[in-house]
Amino acid sequence: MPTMVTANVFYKKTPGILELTDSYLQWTQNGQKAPSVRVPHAETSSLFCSKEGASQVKLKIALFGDDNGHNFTFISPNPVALGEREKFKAELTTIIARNRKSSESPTKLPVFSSVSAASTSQPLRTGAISSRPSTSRATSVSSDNLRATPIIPGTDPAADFRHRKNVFMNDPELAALHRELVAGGHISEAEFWEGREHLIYAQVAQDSQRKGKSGVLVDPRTETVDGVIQLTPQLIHDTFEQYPVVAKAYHETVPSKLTEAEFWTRYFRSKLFNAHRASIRSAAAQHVVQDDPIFDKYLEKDDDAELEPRRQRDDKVELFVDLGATREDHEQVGNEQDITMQAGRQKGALPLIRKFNEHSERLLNSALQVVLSNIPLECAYQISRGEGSSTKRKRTTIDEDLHNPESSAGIALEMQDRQRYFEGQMKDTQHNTLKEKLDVTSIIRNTVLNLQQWDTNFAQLKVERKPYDAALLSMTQNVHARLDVKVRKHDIPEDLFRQMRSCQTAANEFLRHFWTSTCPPMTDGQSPSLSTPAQRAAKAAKMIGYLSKTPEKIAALVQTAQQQGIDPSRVEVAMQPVFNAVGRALTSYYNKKTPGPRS
Amino acid sequence: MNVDSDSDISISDYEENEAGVSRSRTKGKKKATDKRKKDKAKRKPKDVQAYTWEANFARSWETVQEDEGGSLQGAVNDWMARGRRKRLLQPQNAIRRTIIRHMVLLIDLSSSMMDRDMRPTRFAVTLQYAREFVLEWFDQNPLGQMAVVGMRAGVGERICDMSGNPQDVLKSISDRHKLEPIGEPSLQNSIEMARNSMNHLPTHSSREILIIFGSLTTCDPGNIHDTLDECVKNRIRISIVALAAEMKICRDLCDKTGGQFGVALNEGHFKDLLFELVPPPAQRALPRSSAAVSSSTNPAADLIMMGFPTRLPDTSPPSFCVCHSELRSKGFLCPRCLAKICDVPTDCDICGLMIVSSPHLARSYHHLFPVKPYSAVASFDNVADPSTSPSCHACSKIFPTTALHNIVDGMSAIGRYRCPDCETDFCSDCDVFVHDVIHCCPGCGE
Repeated sequence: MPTMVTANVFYKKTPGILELTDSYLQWTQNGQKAPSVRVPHAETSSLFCSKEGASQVKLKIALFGDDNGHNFTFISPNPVALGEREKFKAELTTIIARNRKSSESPTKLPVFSSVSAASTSQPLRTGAISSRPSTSRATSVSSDNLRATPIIPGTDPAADFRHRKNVFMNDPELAALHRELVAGGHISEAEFWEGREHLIYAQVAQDSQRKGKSGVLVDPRTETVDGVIQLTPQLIHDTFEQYPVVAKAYHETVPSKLTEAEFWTRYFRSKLFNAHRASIRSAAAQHVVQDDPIFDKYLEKDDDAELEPRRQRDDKVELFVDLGATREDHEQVGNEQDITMQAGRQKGALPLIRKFNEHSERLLNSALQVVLSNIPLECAYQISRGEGSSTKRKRTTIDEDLHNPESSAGIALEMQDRQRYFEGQMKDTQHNTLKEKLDVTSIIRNTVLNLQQWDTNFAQLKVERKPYDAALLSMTQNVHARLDVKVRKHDIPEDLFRQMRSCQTAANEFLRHFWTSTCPPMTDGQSPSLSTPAQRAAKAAKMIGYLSKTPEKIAALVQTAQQQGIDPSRVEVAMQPVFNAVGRALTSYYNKKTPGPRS
Repeated sequence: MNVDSDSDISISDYEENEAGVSRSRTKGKKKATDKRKKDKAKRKPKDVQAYTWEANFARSWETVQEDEGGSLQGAVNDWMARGRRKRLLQPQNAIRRTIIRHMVLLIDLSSSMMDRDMRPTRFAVTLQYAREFVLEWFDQNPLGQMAVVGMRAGVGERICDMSGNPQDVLKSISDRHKLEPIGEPSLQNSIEMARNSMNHLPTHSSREILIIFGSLTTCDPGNIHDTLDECVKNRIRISIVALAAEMKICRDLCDKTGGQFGVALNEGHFKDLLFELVPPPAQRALPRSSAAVSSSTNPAADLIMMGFPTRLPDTSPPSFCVCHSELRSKGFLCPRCLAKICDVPTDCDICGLMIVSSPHLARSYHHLFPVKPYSAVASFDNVADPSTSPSCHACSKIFPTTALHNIVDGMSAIGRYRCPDCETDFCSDCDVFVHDVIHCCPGCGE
């Protein structure tokens, strides 16, 4: 039973591990083997979370027939705990959504209801969904598929539906718009998402992220001077995973021969632990460590001596790193062999090298989820891409660093009448040269003459009052207008403002559909949404039908404003851009129509 | 005994690089010393200092050499010559570049960014350069849009959505406390994230990912080569500036997608590498197959429809904009559908028309029509009649009448630099200014 999500949580103030598996949500107290809380997926009815930003990260699961349910508090530090909870939440929401669907009870979540009501346009067969083995694994795989083929809304109903729901949860305004337009039956679900695919893409990217397995070696160290090792569930988990032999020892000894605590104390004192330490075996530790009859039998035989690899590789080593590849050169030419590079010369390093190799292999295998026990990765990759051995040989013996980087200069820019680019400047400069031809000295002389009696001229200057007053007045008005704009920011009552806004967003949505159907954006065949011109024309006509009602709606809004005692002109002005835009759409539509359809 | 301890060191180095273990094994010493040790291990083994601040001490002034007369002119000339030689390497002819760019800036926010091999930390340096980069990038690519993704704690985290407004991008990376590095990075997750936010973009624009990567490990859920293949398929260019060392997968990501890869040696070099990515990338011919088909290797270009908006004055009464659905007084009107939008350049929210202002276009233009590099005039033999052009054509500075002797490659002995097109001479300062700032030869315009 594969585990989908796990986290360390408190349940009834006891630390333990919360797991979500294929069919159960279960909680195991630390140290216990069997889960003490086990909830089948089908029984979960709803879930509640503590507010984001609350000191404790909590999750509550309510069951059918038991509203009290179970309370879990996440132990990890805050950001991590939040992430963990989000995962649980994501998984559980889908499960719960499924449960609700199958129990055919009408849904309560507002967002949810709007979506499910709206999705009637594309058939969602409940049966199909509940039969789907929808687990985290399935989700990730299906999202992998989605990644490979760009999602077009409607390909995978369940996943698609979930992503849309998430988009709505993050963007309540969009959800409101969706509720109004799609649930109101104005436009279809597919139409609504057309042009908004990127939102789903982004959501898919966010939702389908899985954390990779950390590559850090387990290396328990004493945190304090007195030599105490903090044993966390995570540490135990990692230890078991990285050293299967410890897990084996644990299973064989723990309830029967040793207690849990004894097991760990003895393990950390044993030779086995020292052999597992990531650092090179220190000579000092060897003396401190006593023999331990239980753990010593799990010790591997002293591997310092054996030089031969434990597992023969039956594949070809990459020529670039194969020390044996040049062996024949030495015989022919008589060159001395490179004595500094001998496999396994430094015996102390052998266990470490082995450990790293095993560790890396385990990591890669877990990431690729293919057992490539005998095939190293590079090879497997090439095999999977169908590369022959000759190309491989060629490739492996070429050191890319020794080659000049491919210097392709790019495509030449060939512009028609390139000279015209400079024309504007040239005109200017011609103009300038004309000016320069003027006799500079005469100009200066004239200026000097003009300035000779400047003081008397200046005294004769009379200021006309009227134009200055007018200028000042207009400036004041300007400043006043600016101030006015800044001060009266927002005094339209909330209710009316919301109406205005929804009218505006709805009109915008219709406009958007109108324009995409009349002037389709440049797409390179990625989403051939509405292909035939006839379909598009029909859509445009439909949108125009809606749009032609917009002026009435605006007029109604203005009237409401008047009734509520607000300056109706302000509402009118606020809606002006929408009004104009609608007008433009209408005229362009009718203009296009009257001269007849130009294909 | 001696041999033993030696091996100890080399192995612990190896181990840290191999496994990327963030904890080094110091057998029960405190964390602080721990961290320092790791720093040291990253550097050359010989600089074994007792304290971190000692490492900060570098005699940078000694790299500048005075000449016999005690003048620094020689050193300055040397720097300028270096710039000139670099410019000569660039393609001379106008080539196609993608001036409409979409870039995702991918910043490593893993714990390895807290390393202090760059001062004060890699993280702080990265943030600072990222801000400068964003400003410069938008300045040079006014038609571009940028998004920011962080890689933190094993997943990709969207920090800023695709935006054409530098202020939005800057704001998203201004608060360092929100971006505090934690956990391990995942190249795959974050590249997937970036890729998905670019999937819907039209292909006439460039799609680029710039990764600032400080870690030596990546913690991926799947096979990153698949991600690489997808990127190649989607024509996404990946460029990486690594802060630690070269990794095979990073190099592959860049090579196969046509991006640039570089490992920063120090802070200055880091900045250089980053800023090399500011000019728009050359559009490359598709691999051989299609080049063979069109013999001219110059595939036909398509026209893109753009619109110049009408600007509303600041003082106009507030009205609804389509982008935020808020009452705003400022704004622009789309020429096609008359929708009111807040910022240009952008794609119109309603009709999808690309809306730009003409200065934006003009600013992007110079990348397409670069000024040809000026050639250094070697001696007076090449000057037909010094009396007709006694001074720089641009700034009227009088040219020297005697030739200098200790001249490095790429510098002119008589201080003249000639435009290959208009054959007028410029002084070295104007040469730099013309090529770096005004991007238009003053002589050719006449």
